[in-house]
Amino acid sequence: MNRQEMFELLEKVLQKVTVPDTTLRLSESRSATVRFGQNRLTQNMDSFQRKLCMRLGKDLRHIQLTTHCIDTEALAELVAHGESLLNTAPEDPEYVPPVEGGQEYRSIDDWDEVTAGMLLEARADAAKTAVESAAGRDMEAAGVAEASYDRTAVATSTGNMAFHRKTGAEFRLTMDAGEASSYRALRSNAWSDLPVGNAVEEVLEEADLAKDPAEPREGSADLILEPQAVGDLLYYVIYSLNARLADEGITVLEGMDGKRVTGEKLTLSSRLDGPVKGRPFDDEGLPCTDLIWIGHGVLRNMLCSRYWAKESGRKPISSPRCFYVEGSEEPYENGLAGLGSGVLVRRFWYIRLVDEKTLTLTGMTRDGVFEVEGGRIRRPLKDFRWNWNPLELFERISWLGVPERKGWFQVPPMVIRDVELS
Amino acid sequence: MRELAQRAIERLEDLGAEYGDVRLETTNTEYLAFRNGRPREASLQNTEGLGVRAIVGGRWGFASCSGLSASETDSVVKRAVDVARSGARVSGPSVDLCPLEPQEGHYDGPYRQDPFEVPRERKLDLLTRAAENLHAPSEVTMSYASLWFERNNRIFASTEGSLVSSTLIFSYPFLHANAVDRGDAQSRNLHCGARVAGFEWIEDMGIPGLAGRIAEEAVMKVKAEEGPTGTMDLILGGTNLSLTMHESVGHPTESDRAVGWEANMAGRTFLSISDQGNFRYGSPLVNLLADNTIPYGLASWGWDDDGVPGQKWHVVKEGVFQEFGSVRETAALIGRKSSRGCCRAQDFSHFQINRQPNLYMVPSSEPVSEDDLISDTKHGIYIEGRGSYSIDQRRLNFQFGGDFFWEIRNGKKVRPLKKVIYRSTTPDFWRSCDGVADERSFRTMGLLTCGKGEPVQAARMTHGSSTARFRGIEVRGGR
Repeated sequence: MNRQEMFELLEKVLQKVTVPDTTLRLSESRSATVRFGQNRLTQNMDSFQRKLCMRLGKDLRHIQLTTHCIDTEALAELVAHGESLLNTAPEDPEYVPPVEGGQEYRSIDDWDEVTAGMLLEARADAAKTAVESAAGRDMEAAGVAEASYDRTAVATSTGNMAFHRKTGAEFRLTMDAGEASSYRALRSNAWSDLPVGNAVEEVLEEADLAKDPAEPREGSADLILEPQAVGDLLYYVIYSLNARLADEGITVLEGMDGKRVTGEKLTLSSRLDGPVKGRPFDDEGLPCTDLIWIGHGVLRNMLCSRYWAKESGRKPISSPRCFYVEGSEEPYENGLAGLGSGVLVRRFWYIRLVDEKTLTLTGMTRDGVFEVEGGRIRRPLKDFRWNWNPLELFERISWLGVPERKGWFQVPPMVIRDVELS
Repeated sequence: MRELAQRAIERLEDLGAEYGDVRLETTNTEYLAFRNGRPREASLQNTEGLGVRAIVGGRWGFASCSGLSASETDSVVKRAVDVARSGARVSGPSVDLCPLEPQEGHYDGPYRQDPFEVPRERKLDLLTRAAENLHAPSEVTMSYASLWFERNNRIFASTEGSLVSSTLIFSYPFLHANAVDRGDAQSRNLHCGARVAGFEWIEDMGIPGLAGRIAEEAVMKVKAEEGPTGTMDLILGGTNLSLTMHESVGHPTESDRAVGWEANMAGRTFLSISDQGNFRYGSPLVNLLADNTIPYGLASWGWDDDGVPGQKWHVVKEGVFQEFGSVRETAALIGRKSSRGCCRAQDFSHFQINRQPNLYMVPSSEPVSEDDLISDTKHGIYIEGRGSYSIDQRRLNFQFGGDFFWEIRNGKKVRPLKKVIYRSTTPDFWRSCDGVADERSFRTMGLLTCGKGEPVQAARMTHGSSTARFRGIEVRGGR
């Protein structure tokens, strides 16, 4: 469905509703993924879904219904059913009516028409490149080549109508050489942006370099984290940027508004039209905006629901689903040279909270750890477990490189001084 | 739905698929949640759709679509076949499924009270009382109480002549209390997870009373001393050992990891195919059974998404690794003639993959109580419930926490603790097991969100264990 068709359907549903408060979200998504492993295709998929989510409210009562049945008769039944259920819904003192009318939404161009065509042959060719390259080097390739699109429309009984569409292209690859491996995740809104061939060659070389790893040394070391590793850690910092959980004393950010939470070198922001595009509105139709979350180490903003904003005197803030860490224009080699001696980490794995109150995390390294000496990679190391607090790590950043896209993040490689290896 | 299934199979044959199957599903869910003792969410979801798998030219193709209609069925079948044809561009062996006799039948998961027939007022009354008890102590600054129910109707049909269906009702109560004291915050939770059962299960367990206990223990935990560091004995309750078992036995014994198909995402396994039947996984007391026929088990579906019937087998017998869990495509690759029926998809929109079965540790057949294990322990920690969890991609190096901890001194629980984590490697840990209690302490935990695959899909399974003791494990403070 295009924008016009989605709006027309939402208007029809709004006309059927008789209770005062309605928020509707109509979404349509398609994703096509070629998956490979053990140097063979293992899956080849193309999935489509269309879904309507309807939130009805009256006084302090509210209910949410979601359906895949999107025809006129089914929608009339859905509305009638929802309205009847509303009478048995309990009163919720935290209920907030739909977003006030008159909201303005930015138009974010995150669409690539070619990628929206699902690229059946190009994705298979990418898999072929990976599989055949690995087989020729006595390695095993595993990964995915994926194209996707999403269209979302939101309408409220207060008169807001919002529409956004985006495409996604991803190529993720592991080259496995027994005890050694390497990994790359490429992502853009356009398949043509992804340097698949180069990535395959680089990952093969990296996996080769990772063979015969030594035990890492005990004690502390300086680290150089590649962008993938930085993004893996950053996820948990963003998870903690929740105003209500901080105010309830549960997270590490309790009472930290306006205070230093990391070193000055860290600035974390969201720019809707930046290198990673964001969503212009949330599921309720609240506009998302450009924001600085942590500016030169100082906590500036946290996510805040509309209810908690009213209670705490903050602004309501939703996640724009795009996060940017400022870096520099210095090439990666400068970071390695500046590191001198230390440990290079390409990626982390299975990171989990150990203690939410202190933001202590645990995790493993994966797909490439190396000892660096004199600014050069000296030898591969075995994976190790760590227990770290990412805010403390970001306190000790001494160098930032050029940001790269990793999922919803655009993050630079970084050098971190004096980290305890456990 | 059966007519649409038949139509899809005919279209697959018309389009020349060497093999094909279709899954059609309708799913209803209801979710009721309270936060901080106040109603937070009431939501209903009705979803439906179909997913079609086809082999053409030795390559898989899969397509899915929400909604159920004849025209959508035709369109999805054609897309699946077109997708499969595009795979011809990539070299490699053809898909080879192990033999399966055509299956026919219907499976109903057991329940006494359909939660969708229970008046909402009754569910809300129960939840209101639980939510109030959970949030009663002044130290509890955040609490969450919820009930979730699902009814799933599913049909599987294949071009080999199978036509099976199932109706399953899932129920899931959740309680969480977070207490704050002197600059610290600690949580306590209900850990039974979900199961195939009706509303009677929720009522029978007495949610309001459990909520009161959980709130009290959250306060006790936040005021407790932090755990010690060192090497000591662990006595693990079934709700703690269930997660450790899931990560360190369930995942490494999945056949798709052994052959390398998950290398890019969930990872591989430290086990090799030749380890079947001879690798010393644990002490002779360790017997781990996979069982997709347990009535309440979340992976007991009658037939899996290959159409293979649910089965029961030893994964580890008297400490020795026996066999990987398999699907029709991996069975031959790991040296088996038939599949163990571990093929499941999150829903109609996902390609079915190798998933963990229901898995539990067999209780001692001798009379051994939890107290017997404790009284025979000089210095150790008793742990129940799940906490922090992390394991490397080969499933060897792990670190786990828990939800509630007691220090054991000279055979007695002497004081509650907080911030305890334990570390080991998988074989070292299971080989250190020197005591397993009998069925009196057997507890289960039903997981709904085991993530695996690309795109990531969630799978369900039930784990269980009696209390067991593990000697000489590294323990650290979880700070």
